[in-house]
Amino acid sequence: MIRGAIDLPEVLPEQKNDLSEAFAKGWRVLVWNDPVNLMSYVVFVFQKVLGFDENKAKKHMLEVHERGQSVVAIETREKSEFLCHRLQEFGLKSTIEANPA
Amino acid sequence: MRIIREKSGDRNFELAVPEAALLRQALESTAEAYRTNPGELDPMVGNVWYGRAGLREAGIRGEDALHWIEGLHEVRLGREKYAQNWLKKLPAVGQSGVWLLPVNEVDAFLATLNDHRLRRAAEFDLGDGDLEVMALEKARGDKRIALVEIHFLAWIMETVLHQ
Repeated sequence: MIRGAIDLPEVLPEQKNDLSEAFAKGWRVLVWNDPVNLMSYVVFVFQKVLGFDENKAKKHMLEVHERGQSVVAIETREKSEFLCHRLQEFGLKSTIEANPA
Repeated sequence: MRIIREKSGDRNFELAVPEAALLRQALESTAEAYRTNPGELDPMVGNVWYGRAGLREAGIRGEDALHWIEGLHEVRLGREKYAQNWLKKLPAVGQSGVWLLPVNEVDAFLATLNDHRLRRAAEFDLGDGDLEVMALEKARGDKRIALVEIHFLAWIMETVLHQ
């Protein structure tokens, strides 16, 4: 063994599945329409929380307004939870769900 | 009311007596609601600020759901501190005057006003039709007061957002 080298643990097959799932973008973040939130405020929140540019933020805001909901992100479970929580912090109605394969 | 955006991004509010009073009242009542534990709020308000809708379906249950709600409450407790500072700097009760909103507090201010609008709408179970400006003319009593607040704060938010 080379001095200073680190022995990495072997990844077992079942662990590989857990790791794959953890890093798979298998979850959707949805925003739902509500009668109170201003359209301009929703655009602002999308830019701030999701990093959308103005055009993309407006596009998704209009989806929420006209269709009742919009899928604003498809991410890992952990990231989806984070984004959903952030959107709720700003008063938006947001949920997460498994992304249909 | 005039809201002037300075080069720094700070917002200078010029408030008449009733406008300062309305803004003060909104911030005071929402700050108090922020200090209230989620489970002790009016259930309609709790549902809109700390709604559990969707958590169960996402498999967020038990302790995880509690942590989720606690996280939302922590954020609002942070805004409550901002609200206390804003209240100290608003024109005194019964007075008009100017009030400076620093640029780094604009996001928290917008979210706080939005929370007030959500809360007041939830208290009276206001839906799409109720929030039309024409509905304000027909509303009476506390519901009318809530609608005035909702529309007044909307005007402030739209002005700040479009500057």
